[in-house]
Amino acid sequence: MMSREKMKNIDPLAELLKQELLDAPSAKFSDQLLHASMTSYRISYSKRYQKEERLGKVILAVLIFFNLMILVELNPFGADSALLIGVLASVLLVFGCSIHYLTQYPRAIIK
Amino acid sequence: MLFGKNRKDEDYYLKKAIGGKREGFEYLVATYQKLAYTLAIKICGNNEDAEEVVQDSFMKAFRALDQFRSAAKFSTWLYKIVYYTALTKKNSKRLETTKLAEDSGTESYLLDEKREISSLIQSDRKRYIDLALSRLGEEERSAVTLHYLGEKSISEIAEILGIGKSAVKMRLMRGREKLEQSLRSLLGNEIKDL
Repeated sequence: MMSREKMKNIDPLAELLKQELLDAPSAKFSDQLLHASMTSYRISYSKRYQKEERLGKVILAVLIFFNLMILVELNPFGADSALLIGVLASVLLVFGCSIHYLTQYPRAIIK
Repeated sequence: MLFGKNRKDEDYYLKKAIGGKREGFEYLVATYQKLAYTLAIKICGNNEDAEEVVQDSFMKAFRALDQFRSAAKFSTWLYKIVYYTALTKKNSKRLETTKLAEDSGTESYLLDEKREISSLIQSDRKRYIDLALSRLGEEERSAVTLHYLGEKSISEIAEILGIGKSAVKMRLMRGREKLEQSLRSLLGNEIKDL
């Protein structure tokens, strides 16, 4: 079988057809198509990862619960109050960032 | 070269699109829309249906975008969707109009003749070639469009049309011969080089 490049070089029919027959959709339709394609991908992406998102949230909640349990066991009220505030702030920050990332990522992926 | 763009570029922009980047989508849509639209219009025969087919197909294809690692495979799959969606569209339209056409067989023949004559009168090269292409069978036309306009290989066309490689070669050969004959009768000396 001849290579496509070789065939193209010796085949005037290919050039003739290409010049005359290639239809281009309107600019308005191209914009619509771009928007439809992006939306379609975004929706399918969110649907596909919805279950994983929920599972992630549950795992995160369990981990945070056990961390708090450990914190209670360590009796932080008996320790320095500055250390307690620092630890609580860190826990809240990690929790907030994780929830924000998990909920926003599927929507934010299409910029 | 219109469609023989660098595969590496296509793969790069495919990855970008999978990552949700707008520029990736822009590149893929701009690269594939012309051939998809041409293929659809050659099967459906009008702009409105072709646009509908292309939009539906792109939406279906982009839904599964992240399952592809190579742009060549994605484009082959996209054109396959375009081809089958266009065929479905055409067949559903045909069913709607069969009843009307049954009573007017001679009339439609005369209309076709009239259309051909009016096309000739317009003295437009594109119309002659379009007319020559429309005289081919549906599968021959699709094979010729994908091969000559889309620069698709025999194996890619076989995958898109869902037929064997030898059948593609046969259709291309027959299509080329018929096209050459039609063009010779329509354009005369203009295409003596073919």
